Amino acid sequence: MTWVITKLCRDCVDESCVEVCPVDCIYQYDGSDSDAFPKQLYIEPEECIDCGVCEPECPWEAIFEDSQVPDVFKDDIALNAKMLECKDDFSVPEVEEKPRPTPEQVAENKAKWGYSP
Amino acid sequence: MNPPRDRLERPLRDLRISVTDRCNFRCPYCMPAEVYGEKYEFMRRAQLLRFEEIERLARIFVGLGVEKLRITGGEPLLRHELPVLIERLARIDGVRDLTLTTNGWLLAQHARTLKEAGLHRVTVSLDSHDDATFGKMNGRGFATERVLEGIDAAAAAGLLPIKINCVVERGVNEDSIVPLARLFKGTGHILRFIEFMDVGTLNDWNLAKVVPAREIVKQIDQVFPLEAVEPNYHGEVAERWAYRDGSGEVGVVASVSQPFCGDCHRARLTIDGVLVTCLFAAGGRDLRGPLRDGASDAALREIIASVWSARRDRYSEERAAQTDAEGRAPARPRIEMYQIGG
Repeated sequence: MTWVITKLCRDCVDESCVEVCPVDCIYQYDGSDSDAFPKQLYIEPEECIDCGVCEPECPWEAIFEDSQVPDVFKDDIALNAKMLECKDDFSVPEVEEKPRPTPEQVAENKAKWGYSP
Repeated sequence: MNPPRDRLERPLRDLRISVTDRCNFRCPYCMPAEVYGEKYEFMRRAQLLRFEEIERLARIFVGLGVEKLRITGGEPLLRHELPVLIERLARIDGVRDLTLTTNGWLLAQHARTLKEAGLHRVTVSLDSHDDATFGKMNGRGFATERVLEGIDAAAAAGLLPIKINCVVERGVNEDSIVPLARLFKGTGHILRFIEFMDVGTLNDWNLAKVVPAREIVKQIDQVFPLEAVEPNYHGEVAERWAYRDGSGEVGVVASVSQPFCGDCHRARLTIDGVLVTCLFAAGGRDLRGPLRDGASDAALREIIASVWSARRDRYSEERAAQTDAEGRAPARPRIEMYQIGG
């Protein structure tokens, strides 16, 4: 079991989740292959202790337990796990405070990715 | 104002503060996985008491007679920056005992920081020595090794004396009693066995699942002879037993077979700032509301004192009288264990 960050995180990387993770298992991609690893945060599945503390912190509601990931985001489970293949290209980001999105922005972002909860 | 006494003349001495409802374990007696899947809504951060709010309330409680503070959860080590809270609480004059109950999973990485922040000691929950049984009881299949490393780290950091709590459930882990005793005998750690209680509404409690404390003591005594020891202080919940060979002691908490409500000096503060006067209560008095509405210390003190003065709770004694022929406890609403921290 692990938690997974989905596409709803893309290009935001709010980092509130990074701040609260008790085991520092949320990473950013520092490498150059942005097709393989788009700009979003990733949960290292072997370090994640399944506590779920990050989930309510994400303003975009992008984090799910693997068994509960919506169908449109199923690929993201493998994408998070794929970081294990090149972990040296990942690091735990420095946390910067970012403005919170409005509920409308959150809904818009979900619609953009074809997710209707 | 004199420190308040409740309707049964009990003073207020202990405060248990729950700092998160999150946990990485899914122990069936507290937060069973089938109920707390992803769909379950844990509290949002804004609902939780902030550290300055907890500190302010703790100071008021200490002014009303509290001497012992215990941090609980959920799993308290999951609360972000917990050592900052510990530091704030450790500074309060009149706190004689500042401790924390944890599942031990993150203890190795935090032990030193917690000690430096001013934590006195820790209690670690460990329901079995055996990986298969422990894995079943934590609901996640986790092995004991990491918890044992946490206990060692806490000892090395000086968070002493360490207590190890084991909830004994008939048919689940009663065969872990003697092996656990063997594991901690001679280490200086105090192992305590707790009777399985009907905390919350989710653990399908039945009297038949309770292994009475006297049976636990008998099991250990047959292998490692024991003798009774006087309590450390009036109102201590665990009955103390020393190994006759001088290699330490164990305790039993007979909350079902010999309820100790008469000596209960304990209040609980939930994650969202509700004052609860019994582990088995259905609710309590909201303190967060008045706190955030700008209530003065004197006004908060008045609220807490009035709640305590009106307290009549003695559920465990009532349970003993009301448990039915099938061993079921009286049905009534209760706060869940992960909200109140045991």
